[in-house]
Amino acid sequence: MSAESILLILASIAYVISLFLFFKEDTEKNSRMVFILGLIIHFAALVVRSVIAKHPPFSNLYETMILFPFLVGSRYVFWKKQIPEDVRWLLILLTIILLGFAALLPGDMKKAEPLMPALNSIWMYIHVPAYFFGYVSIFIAVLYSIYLLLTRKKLLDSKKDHLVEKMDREIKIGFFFLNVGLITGAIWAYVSWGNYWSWDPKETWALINILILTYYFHLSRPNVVKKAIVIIITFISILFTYWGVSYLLIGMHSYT
Amino acid sequence: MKNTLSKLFLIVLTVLTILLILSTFFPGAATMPGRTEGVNPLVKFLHLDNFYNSFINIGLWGIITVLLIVSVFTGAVKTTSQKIIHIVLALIFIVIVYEKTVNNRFYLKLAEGETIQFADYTPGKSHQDSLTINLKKFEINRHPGSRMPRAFISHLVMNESDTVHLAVNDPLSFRHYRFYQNAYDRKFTFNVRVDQQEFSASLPDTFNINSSSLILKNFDHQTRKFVLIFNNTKHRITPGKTVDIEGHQITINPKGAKFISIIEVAEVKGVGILLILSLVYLLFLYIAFRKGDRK
Repeated sequence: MSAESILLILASIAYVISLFLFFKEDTEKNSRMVFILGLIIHFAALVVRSVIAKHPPFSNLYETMILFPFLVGSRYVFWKKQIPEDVRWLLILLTIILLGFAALLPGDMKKAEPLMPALNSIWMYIHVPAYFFGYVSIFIAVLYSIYLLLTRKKLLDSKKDHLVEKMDREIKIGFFFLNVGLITGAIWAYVSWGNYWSWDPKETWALINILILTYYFHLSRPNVVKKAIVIIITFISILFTYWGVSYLLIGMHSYT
Repeated sequence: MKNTLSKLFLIVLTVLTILLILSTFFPGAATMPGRTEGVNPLVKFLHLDNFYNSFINIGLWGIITVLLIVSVFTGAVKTTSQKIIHIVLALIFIVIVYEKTVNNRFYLKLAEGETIQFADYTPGKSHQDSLTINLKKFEINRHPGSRMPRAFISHLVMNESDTVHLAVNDPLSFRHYRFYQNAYDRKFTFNVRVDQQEFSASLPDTFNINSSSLILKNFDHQTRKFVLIFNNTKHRITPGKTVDIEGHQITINPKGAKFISIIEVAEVKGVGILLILSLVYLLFLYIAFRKGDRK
């Protein structure tokens, strides 16, 4: 078993203990300390992966699936106050589930490979992280939307408005970074292939995500239910963009 | 008026989004060999197999562009930053249509040692595009300790004097053209010996020997023999073995392989404007969201 795998297993154990402590104890303090420890170990795993592969971990599906929970966890640690207490445990759970999915991938998909010529560009370090910042925000917005859908009748109006405000902010961050990702991707495609837009399936689905999310800003008489539905549909579209396109549709982004 | 525009926009956006989603599942179905018939009539009607170049796609984007502009001038959009976002997006779509219509894109295939006249490939064959390009060498750099390529590099000699390097993610510019290292291929060469004469050949190739015609047609991978047509009669020859054909001693030996660099050339009129508009769009999107947060 590689050092990277051992570190990821240790990080997962720390996250699970953190989740257990979140519910077991009166304060969040110990849960958070254990989670931070898990995040440090997770970061070490990403560093090990980067050293072996000789590039940061976002060139294929497995690498993005171990990076993504790290970013989600980082949001919980560094921007804790922006996330209401009621939903913080969901972030911990999400981190555990995402790492679990990464662990379930076949061994040949986990093999560290050097970058192929098309990926050997400075734009990979701008385009991919931009999308991941966007995806993390939309992920968190989805948590808010599901929570609001399930509890909207029980919540006080002030609390509901506060959560909707948080959800709006996450969607704005997500929408902005999806646009940054699309534009930087177009620039990269122009530099690499001489064509900033070729209706590649991945490109088309990235555009579809933005088109769906455009609804959020154009809803007439927006309410919690309408907003939540748009976010959930966007999330499903993003899942298909991330996984479905790579396996069901063939294009220039097939390596992702 | 605002509500009407908004509803119309959402309807058009819905139709466009659904058609884009469906189109990704029908990539060029009508152009696949043997698939000229039997394509689902609905797919054909909606042009889903060639959606991106269809009038439906262009028409829907055109309606969105008009709505973006109309929403600004009818006061449906209130804040300055939102108005700028709408106008800039409309301009982006217009420039894209212009650029895709006006600019040409084509491929050059150059074997190692081969020289071409660039003007022969350009759309107008203008003398202003006069440029000779020679592929001196094609190089594949691999990652240390791995078979994975790190870079594909074409070493080109322009106008018999300037040596330049063209690699993936490192394009070259010439006037309003940009050259991109797109892909590569390999061309195998052979030594054909007919009696005392020797020829260098690739597949396929044709020779005239005195009054006889020799065509080196292809290599049959099943029988592992060259297929040769000598004076309209087909023969199969084992590599390296000398055979007697109509009194001539013929031998074919593999010589080596040459790389063929496949270079994509694109005209770049209007692309700079597109970049500026995109950056302006991002800037005002950020401003609009920040102002919204402060309220």
